[in-house]
Amino acid sequence: MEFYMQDIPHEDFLPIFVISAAVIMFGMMYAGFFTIVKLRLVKRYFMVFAYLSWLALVASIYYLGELLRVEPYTQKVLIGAMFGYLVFPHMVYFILEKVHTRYEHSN
Amino acid sequence: MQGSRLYEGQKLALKYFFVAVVLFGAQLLFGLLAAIQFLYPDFLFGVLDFSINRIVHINALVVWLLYAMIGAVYWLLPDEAGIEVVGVKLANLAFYILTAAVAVVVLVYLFIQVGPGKESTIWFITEGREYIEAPRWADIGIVAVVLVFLYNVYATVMKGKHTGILVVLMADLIALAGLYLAGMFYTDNIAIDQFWWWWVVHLWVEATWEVYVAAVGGYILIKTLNANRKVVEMWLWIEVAMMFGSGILGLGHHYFWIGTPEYWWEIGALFSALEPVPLVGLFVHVLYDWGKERGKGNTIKNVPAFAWLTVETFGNFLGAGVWGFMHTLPQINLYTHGTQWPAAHGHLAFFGAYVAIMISAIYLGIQGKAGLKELKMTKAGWWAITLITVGVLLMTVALTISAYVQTMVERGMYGATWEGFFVAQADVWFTQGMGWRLFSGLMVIAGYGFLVYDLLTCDKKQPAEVYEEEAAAATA
Repeated sequence: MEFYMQDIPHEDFLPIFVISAAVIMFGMMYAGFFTIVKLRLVKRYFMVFAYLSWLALVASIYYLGELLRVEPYTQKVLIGAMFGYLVFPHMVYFILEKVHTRYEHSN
Repeated sequence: MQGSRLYEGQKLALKYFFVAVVLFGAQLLFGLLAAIQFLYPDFLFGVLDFSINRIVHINALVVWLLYAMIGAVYWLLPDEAGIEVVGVKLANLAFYILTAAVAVVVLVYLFIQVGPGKESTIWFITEGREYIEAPRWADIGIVAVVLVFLYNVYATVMKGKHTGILVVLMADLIALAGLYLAGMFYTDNIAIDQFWWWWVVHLWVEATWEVYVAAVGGYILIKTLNANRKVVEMWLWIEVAMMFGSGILGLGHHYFWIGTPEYWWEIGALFSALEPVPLVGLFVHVLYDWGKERGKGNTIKNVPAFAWLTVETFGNFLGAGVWGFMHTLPQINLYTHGTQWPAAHGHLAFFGAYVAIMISAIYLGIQGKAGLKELKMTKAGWWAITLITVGVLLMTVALTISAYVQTMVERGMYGATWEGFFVAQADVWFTQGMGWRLFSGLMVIAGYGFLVYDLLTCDKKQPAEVYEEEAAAATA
């Protein structure tokens, strides 16, 4: 537990708050760009922004882990979770689309 | 559908909505008084202290949201089940008993205020637990009223149609009501007391209320966008799984510093980090439904309701997701808890996750009461949504600035000392943040004025074609 909770210098507070916000914002941008491109509300090349957002998310998570002084094992788990999040919008959209197609004329 | 053609359950829903809007006003008024007292501590000192204003501000929020939630269920229940609410007379009686009890409790808060440290105070004045301060006699009354409500819901669904939205609501309402019991017993050990108290507060707002919102949000999507019911209901089940999956053990982030074992740090950190994921999913879902229906050229059937639902989606994400995650992980929460960080997060999260969607549900009621095929946004409606939303966002930013000062000065530089507390409170950035919070509170109150005006008049200010469509439908 001592490793888990090291003191954080107060000059790191602001970067922690900003990067924490960035984690959530990039997460939403990835899912948002992915969805609107799939729905053809914008041109297909906007998908690049989706994956750039995901890359920014991974970088943010890594940096947040550094700032919070998490142990190396947790750092690996965090990056692994990012690959899970890479799949997440694909999975949600796939299920939504399948259900929509199946029940297109049911209402 | 004219008012006389509404189900009795829907007429009851309108009564719940009416009281909810009145209590919303009370919440804002007492919040304003408390905000003034942050800047001018002598204001109403000894008459209506900050502690009392805060109690009324917070409890009015919880109670008006519960009124609106119950109202929304009574609104959608007969519509979804296809039959009148079973036991609607009993439900009406319960409404009047609950409203009388709420009035008595508020009067006691305002005029009796505090009592001696005896059992009688817990029974007749206040239990002293944040958010659920109601005295025990009122607790028991609330349980009785909720049992009537559950009976209405279960008996109606059993007799009528079993839609996915109703089945999710049935399961969720049992959990929501059952959790209230965890806040009804008292222990002398404050750590144990807080342990159970969080079961009510956290497992309401970050689990059962979120699932409730997903179900009612699904109903609103069907009504406003004509969204595909199967897609809505399928998504609802996924969301229930995700919200309960992350939300239940997300409870851990409230157990960091109250005397519970240290393993809660890791549990709280992991599940708190997962909590924004369903919010991203909800965002994708609303975007998906809007995109699909927009492609078909469908018009929005109730613009104010859909606008508030959109505010809900983004507000929930920003307030609960972004502002929650910024200060929740235990390493940083060590320095942020007990400052204005939770206040900044709480204001935007409650507004985004619950206030916005309840206003959306109330607009559905207004449309149904007036019997309009469509409800367009009026100027007053736009002023209301703009002033309230911008006001709450500004309030959140102002509170965040004050919170940052507290974190840096009180916690970081002075090491959470008594001296550090007062140095931070006197810091010019802290007081300026509080000043902007007061200003933004006035904006919200102005928006509330527009909202009340719009709710009372918007059905009479609709374009002619909306009435014509209704007339045509009535003669068809």
